[in-house]
Amino acid sequence: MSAPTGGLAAELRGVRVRYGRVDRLHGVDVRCPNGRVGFLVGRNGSGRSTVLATLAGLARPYQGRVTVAGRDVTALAAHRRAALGVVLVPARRAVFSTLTVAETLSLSGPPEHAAARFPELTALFARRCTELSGGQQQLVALARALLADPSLLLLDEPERGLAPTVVTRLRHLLTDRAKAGHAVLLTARTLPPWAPDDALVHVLERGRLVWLGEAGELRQG
Amino acid sequence: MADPGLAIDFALAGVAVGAAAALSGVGLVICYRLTGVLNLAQGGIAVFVAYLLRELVVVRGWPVGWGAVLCLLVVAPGLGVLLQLAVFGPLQRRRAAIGEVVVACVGVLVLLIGAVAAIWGTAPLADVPALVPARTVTLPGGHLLRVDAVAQLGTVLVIAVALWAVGRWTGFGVRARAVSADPTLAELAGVNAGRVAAAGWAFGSFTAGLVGVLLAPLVLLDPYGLPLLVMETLAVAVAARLRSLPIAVAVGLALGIGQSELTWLHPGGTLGPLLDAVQSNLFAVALLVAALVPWGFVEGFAEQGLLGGGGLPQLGRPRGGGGGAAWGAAVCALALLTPLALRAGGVRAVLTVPALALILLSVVLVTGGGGLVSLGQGSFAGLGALAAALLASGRVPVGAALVVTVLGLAAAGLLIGRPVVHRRGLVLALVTFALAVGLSRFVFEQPYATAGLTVLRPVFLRGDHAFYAAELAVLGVGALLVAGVRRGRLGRALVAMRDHEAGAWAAGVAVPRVKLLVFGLGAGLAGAGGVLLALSGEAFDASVFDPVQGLLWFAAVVVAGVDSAVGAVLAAFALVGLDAATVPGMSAVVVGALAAGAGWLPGGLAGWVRRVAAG
Repeated sequence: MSAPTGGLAAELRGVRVRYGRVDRLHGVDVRCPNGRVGFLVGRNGSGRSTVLATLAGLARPYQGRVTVAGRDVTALAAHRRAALGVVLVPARRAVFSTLTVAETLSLSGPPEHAAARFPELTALFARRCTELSGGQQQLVALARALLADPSLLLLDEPERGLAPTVVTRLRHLLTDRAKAGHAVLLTARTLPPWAPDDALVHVLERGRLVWLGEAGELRQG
Repeated sequence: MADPGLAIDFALAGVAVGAAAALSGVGLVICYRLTGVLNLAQGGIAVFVAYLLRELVVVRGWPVGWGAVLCLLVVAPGLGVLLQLAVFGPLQRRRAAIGEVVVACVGVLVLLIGAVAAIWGTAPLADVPALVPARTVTLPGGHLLRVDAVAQLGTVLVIAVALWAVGRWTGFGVRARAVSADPTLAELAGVNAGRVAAAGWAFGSFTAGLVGVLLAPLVLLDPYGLPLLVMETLAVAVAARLRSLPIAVAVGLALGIGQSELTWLHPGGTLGPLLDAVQSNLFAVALLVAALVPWGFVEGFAEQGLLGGGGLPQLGRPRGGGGGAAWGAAVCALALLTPLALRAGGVRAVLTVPALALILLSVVLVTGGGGLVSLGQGSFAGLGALAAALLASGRVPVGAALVVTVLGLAAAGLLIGRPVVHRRGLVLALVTFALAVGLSRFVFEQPYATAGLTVLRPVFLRGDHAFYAAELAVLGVGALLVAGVRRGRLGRALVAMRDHEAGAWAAGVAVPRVKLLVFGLGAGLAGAGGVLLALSGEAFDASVFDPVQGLLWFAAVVVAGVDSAVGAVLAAFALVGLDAATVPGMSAVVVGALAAGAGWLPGGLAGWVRRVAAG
């Protein structure tokens, strides 16, 4: 293939993943191009979260390759991939129970920078993450991930529990990140209406990729 | 007796032990929070480092300072890092169950004790170097203050405060606390959880070594006494709920001082011996109390190990039908029947095998079948042996004695099990270990319980062949019982409970009742094994039912394959055979090595055999 890998933040090629004795992914190809928002669309159990886990290094494929910026990272541990700029926010339990908000943010950078993006966090800095509501916890997790300025941001159902105004801001932030040349990959049950027409959509069904194309094509077809 | 000055003197005398216990608690808490592993191997590390320091200072003539630097700042932390790399890292990477981690700890403990015994011998040594010379200063009021106790107290406080400051104000501290809360999430945030765990093990080994070096001059140094002493200080960490440093320090000091004050009380009368036992084993009492008090809300990483899930990953049914199981049973039966064809001396050597197999079978039932990590099966066997001795001394027929003992122990299992079985994971393991320590200290080792006991086989079992055949019959009944429990309705309830407790509740399984039933049956089986063990040796030997021995038996079952009855029988052969064929203690070293390697051998030897057979 002559397609330049430099244009891809990360890629899965023919990846098969097994949890216990059950195959979760049956040879899946996923591409995360720089400068675009990507979507993993599918029902529960279709393998969306497993794709994210494989990209982030939590799940190891027994077949296939994972590359980040053209480099083979199939055997690389999760924390090393985080250092390469692949940052995942899981759908649930995404904060540390014993850390304060400020300490959580400081894992990825100066907490004040996150406060500039999400001013409502400032009042919560001294609180423990478990004392927050579900939506606030999600906000802390997203703010920490954005603070790391990842080259590939992986979000598992990021809008769950967030206030509508925050959701709108998050969407703008994500499209802005894409415009700035970074890659973003989100999961969703169905393609959301706000998805830009050039977003790359992967439709998964029972651990297989059944459709790949742009959001605009999916809407027309 | 009412002299307050004397009370102060005793309190000051207790500070030395109290500071060491507090230090041990701090080390266990930090190691647990950074690695998720309760360091049951601490006693082994302590005794190893203490012996090494004595070797350097007394035998090689090094100055104490240099010896201490090498032992405590190089060897001990190095050992900790090695443990993370070779033993616990692999377990963590494949998210091993809590039972496997316990077994790996036991393996390390047994290996280190075995190494000490092999290198330096088992004779107790009195010429142990002290880090700080035991000088005394006279305080105003005439009280004597030991300089070494003050130095130890200061060290503990400095270490605790330093740890707190590091956790609060440094980047490493925040990262370490992130790992402690959720290691997976911490990895996603770019934290190297393996490196944090290595730091935790290095610190845990350092404190273990320091505790060993501090305690060694207070007792005679021998390979078995010191580790148990150190393991009893688990009480401190358990009281601190494996989380709070201030509580660990306070409880450690309080226990040390309290123990010292109790010597001063020293009442006479009938309660005297019991109170003396409490005084000399105050840490065992504290361990029992601390483990039995409900744990309440535990957050973060701790939750996964302490309350989450249960026993061990199961092997499941072998693929390709029951052919493999039939082969295994045939091998077992052949191995068990062969000694009947041997001459008397040959039978005598394997007389303990069926008895031991019954005890191991009880572990298979309780841990393999029910998913309950019980470290106390050995002490149920001890109770059985004791009951057999008491009944046999009263000339009760042996068959009746066996039946009475087994029923009595099953009842005792139900009774003891009641406050225990709703615990899960590591807490259950701790409670049962505490029970084992308590029974050993307050029953098996006390003259008031075991003095003047004689165990005689009845006339028709006097011959070794006859007795061995009788043992086989009891073992057969036990094996049928286990097979029966694991089949049918109860068996399905057990599997459901083991795999997903909440799901079992939801599916209408009466979880507490099933657990209690399994626990009681396990106690009865182990008790039967204990009766046979006592009869085979025609004596009650408390050292056989030592808590560490119980740990070794548990580890042997897991190494063999925790839900494999065949594995349990073969493991009994291996334990007895290895010691008989080489030197006593060899079986412990082999089991220890295999158990420490649990990370590389999922499912134990039985799992390995099945994987090989499956291709």
